[in-house]
Formats: sequence, C-alpha cells, structure tokens
Amino acid sequence: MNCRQALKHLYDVIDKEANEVDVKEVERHLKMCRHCMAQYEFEKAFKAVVQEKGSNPGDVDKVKDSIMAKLDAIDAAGEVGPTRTPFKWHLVAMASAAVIVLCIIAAVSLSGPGETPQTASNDTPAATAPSTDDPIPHFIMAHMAHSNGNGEKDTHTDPLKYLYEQTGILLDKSPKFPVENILSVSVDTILGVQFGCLEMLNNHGELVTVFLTTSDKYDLPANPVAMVDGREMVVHRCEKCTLVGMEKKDLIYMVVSDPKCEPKELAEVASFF
Amino acid sequence: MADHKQTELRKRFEREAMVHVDALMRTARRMTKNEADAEDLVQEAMLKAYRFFDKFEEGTNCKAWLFKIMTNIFINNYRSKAKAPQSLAFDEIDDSFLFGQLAKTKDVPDPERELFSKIFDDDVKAAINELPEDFRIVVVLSFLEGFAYQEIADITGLQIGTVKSRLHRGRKLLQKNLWDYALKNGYIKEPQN
Repeated sequence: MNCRQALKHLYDVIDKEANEVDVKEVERHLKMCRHCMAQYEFEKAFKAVVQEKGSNPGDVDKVKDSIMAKLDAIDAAGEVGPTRTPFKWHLVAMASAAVIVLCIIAAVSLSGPGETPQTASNDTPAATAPSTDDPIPHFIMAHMAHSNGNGEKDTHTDPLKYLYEQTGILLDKSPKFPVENILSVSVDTILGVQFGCLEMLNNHGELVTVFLTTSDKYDLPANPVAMVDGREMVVHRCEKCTLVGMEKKDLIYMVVSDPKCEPKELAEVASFF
Repeated sequence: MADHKQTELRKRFEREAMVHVDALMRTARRMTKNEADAEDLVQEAMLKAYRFFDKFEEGTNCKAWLFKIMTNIFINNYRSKAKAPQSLAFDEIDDSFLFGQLAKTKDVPDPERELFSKIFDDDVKAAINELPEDFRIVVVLSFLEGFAYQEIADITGLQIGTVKSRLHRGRKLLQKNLWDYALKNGYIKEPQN
C-alpha cells in the first residue's frame, strides 16, 4: 500500500468503518511512513477534540420536563398504543411510503400508457364491506382524546378554513364531501410532502383518514387497482386529482390534488366516500 | 381498558427513549442553530415517537430510530426555506488543510497540541454551526453521536456513498472553520509562507 492508498482509507480506519484487511494494510503502511502516521495521528486527534468539545448537550432539563408533561397528557387521553387505531397508519405510511411509491411506480409501468377510466366492478371503496363492529364511537373517543392531548390545532370551528390556511387546499362544502363528518384536521409531513389530514367518517359511517396535498411529488397511476404490500389498493383519478383508497380495517384515502383543481372536481373524487 | 398496557409502554418509553433526549438536544441545537427550535424539534420528535412506540421493536436501535424521526421532521419542517447556495469553495481546500497549516507553524513546538488545547467548546460548536446544512447533519451524526456510516444513511435517507463524501467534505470544512477561529481568536499565529 502506498501513501495515496493509505490516505484513501485513512478516514475509514479512523471512523472504524474499514474492513480488517484494509486496517492491517493501513497500519503496516503507517509504521513505515512517518508523514502518513503524523497525518493519521492528527486526524484522529482532531476527531477526538471535536467529539469532546462538541459533546456537551447543554441544558436539557426544561425540554425533558416539557416532554414528560406532554406524555402525561397523551396518556390521559389514551392516544398511544392499541387504543390509537385511527393514527397508527401514519407510521405505516411513513415507513412504507417509499415502498408504496415504488409499488405505484411499478404499477404505472405494468399498466402501460393507457389512460382509460377504471372498470366499474372494483372501483368503489364503498363496495367493500363495512369493517369493524363499532368504529364510530371508538373513533370519536380517539378524536376527543387527540384534541386535548398534544396541543395540535386540530379542533376548529371551520376545518376547511384551517385546511386552506395551512395547505392552500380549498374544499367546498359539498354534500358529497360531508364537512360535518370531519372530526379533526391536522397537518402532517410524510417523506417531505405536506398533507392536510382529515379524520372523518365516510358515508358508511366508517372511520377514514383523508390525506390531501397539493404536492406533485407523487406521480400516481391511472389504473384502478394496484397491489401495495400485498393489499389491493383502489386508485381513482379525475383530470387533476388522484385518490388512492387502501382497503383495510381502517380505510385510508389519499387524495393528491393539483392546486388548480376546482373544488367541484375534488368533491367529485371525494364522492367515493 | 388498556391502562395497564399504557403504563407498561410509558415505562418502556422512559427507559429506552427518554435517555436519548440529551443526545437529541445536542444534535437538534446544531441542526437548528436556535434554542427554541431545537427544543420544539426534540419535543415533536419525542411525542411522535411515543405515539408510535408500540410499533417500535424492542431490542432494536432506539437511538437511531429516534434520530431518524427527528431528522425527518427537521428536513421537512425546519430546514432553511431558502436554501443558501452551497457551492462553497471547499473543493479548493486541501485534504490535509489544517494538518498542512499546522505543520507550517514554526513558532510553537507542538502546534497541534497548542491548538487543540486552546479551542473552547463554543469554538467547536460555532465551527460546526457554520457548516452548510447538508454537511452539518452528517458531521454531527458521525462525530458527536457516533453513528456508523450505514446508520447515518438510514437516518438521513442518503446513499452510503453520499454520507461518506459529505462527511469527508464536512470534515475538511470543519477544519478550515476551526483554523479560522484559531487565527481570529489568536490561539495560533498565521504561518509565514
């Protein structure tokens, strides 16, 4: 190993990332080369100094107290764990969003360029059987807990106004999009895309979470059915909006809309509720 | 009701997650460069983690999991809206810039020790803060938190090669920043060429 090769692996060795063979080779070179050895010692010392002098986290008591108080509030509201049915998909969405996007991309490539509308047989999530025994009281309970638990602004006299202020998405008060069924509005960011999250009851009284965004980051397919994580997912699309319904115990719909999309069109898509 | 489970979960959260608040705050302060934002960021990350803690697999790397949540929130919500141009001239910095500068310093017998003993915590923190954001995150996760390259890749969603190259450039730039501090504060004299 010459100086150039040794220096190439120097940081890997310092960061303990080099494999055994490289470590041995570098060490052998360092023993023979004073210059490289001096640089190695220097880089090691530099890292140690930064570690030492940068490591003091400073005062953390205030933030710890504040977190504990908020945890108490969450506990009191029963928002965590198995009782938190309406919210657990956020994590799943986060964790598998990349997979979903990939699957969707795969679905696009499988489905070909066809822009034909979806077939009638399986294009309505409404056609799925109502899922749980009594999702409504359960959800309302969770919502009430949510609203006084974490301080997020999710109780609003005018949820649509809040949604518009936060995300620029304008929904009209269409009978097809029953505003009175919206139980909470919040804003979440999943993989860099900001979503307005509406937790609401659909026209079948089932709990749904609707994600709305004006981002064009997701390029969703026109084909009606895609498989995501082994589950069938129904995709609907109007001219400017795409809705993805995931058939699951807790139905989740994702509406990806264009900022230019008319409220009317959104409501049309939303009519699948 | 699930009160019993809730208590168990809370206990486990305090035992496994709360212990990392110090580290999260340390990194959050460097990420946001702002005390109030750092506190908000850590708090948001911890509350989100708690809500999903029943999904966290016991025995896996809790610190990395928390850092991933926090880094995601930071990247999505806190990072500077108008991205400053990051095409700094650090490519022009020699790989062994600081080492080379110190080697030229003749007025003290051991300039390296001289410099390292004189710089303060605040100098190091300020030098880190001055790194462009993309490099800063990777440097902090590696240097201060001791995460492995692969862990940093998982936390930031970057390719491991990108992590390595950012870390390499970040390291060089950090040395340059520290050198500038050392000169400015008179810890060391500019070598005569």
